[in-house]
Amino acid sequence: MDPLAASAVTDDEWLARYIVRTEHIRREDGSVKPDPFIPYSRVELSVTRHLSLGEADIWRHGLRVASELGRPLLGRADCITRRFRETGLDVISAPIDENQNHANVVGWPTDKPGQKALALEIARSVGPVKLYSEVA
Amino acid sequence: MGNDCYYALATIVSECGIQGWDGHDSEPVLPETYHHACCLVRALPPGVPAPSVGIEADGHITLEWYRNPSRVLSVSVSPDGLLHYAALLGAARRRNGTEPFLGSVPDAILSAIREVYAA
Repeated sequence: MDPLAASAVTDDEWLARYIVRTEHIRREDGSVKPDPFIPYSRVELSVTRHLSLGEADIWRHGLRVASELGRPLLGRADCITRRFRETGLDVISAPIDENQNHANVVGWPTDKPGQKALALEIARSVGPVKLYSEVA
Repeated sequence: MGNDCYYALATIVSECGIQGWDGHDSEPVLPETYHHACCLVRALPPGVPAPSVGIEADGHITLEWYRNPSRVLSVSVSPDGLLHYAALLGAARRRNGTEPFLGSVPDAILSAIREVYAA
């Protein structure tokens, strides 16, 4: 296992949440909705740490995730770890076989309105979705 | 209310009506959820902008009213007719809660929609 992947997630690290549904991107300005940030089924959210990955490798992870979902990769929403922690959540390194850079966002409230409120805050700080079509 | 909204709802149901539609453990969008979402859209008063339609992994349909990053309302429609909502209403104003859908748009949600678009 890559020792860097097992390291604690620092506040300055960037995390990727891959977008595979058109409904998750706002037509008005290309920003991401809160929908893909709602945790399910466990009360945790999967993300990919950028760490030392170059852009090509970050997108390669996205293509793998999209392939597993049976959907085309549309883009990704990048969020800095500090933003998650400012809302009271935490980000824990959780490498898996398919993705050594995998991490979980944990500490979500169990009530749906509470989860939505945090997801809205996180989505707001992401800005426009980085579209895969612009780099492919 | 424009046909686009109903078309989007129908598309969501057709694409996400099975268990694991996201390739993992997502819940299917149930007929009850679709019914409540359509009824909620139909109950919106004249002049209220049409929401954009989305989906969450727990099978809830989302209806969102968006003006800018600081003015947005997201409502999750559940199969049991509960409307879970969260809103950013400018500056530091936040609102979230749950309202039952009993055939008309709950006041709390209508109020939030109006605040999203308030001057």
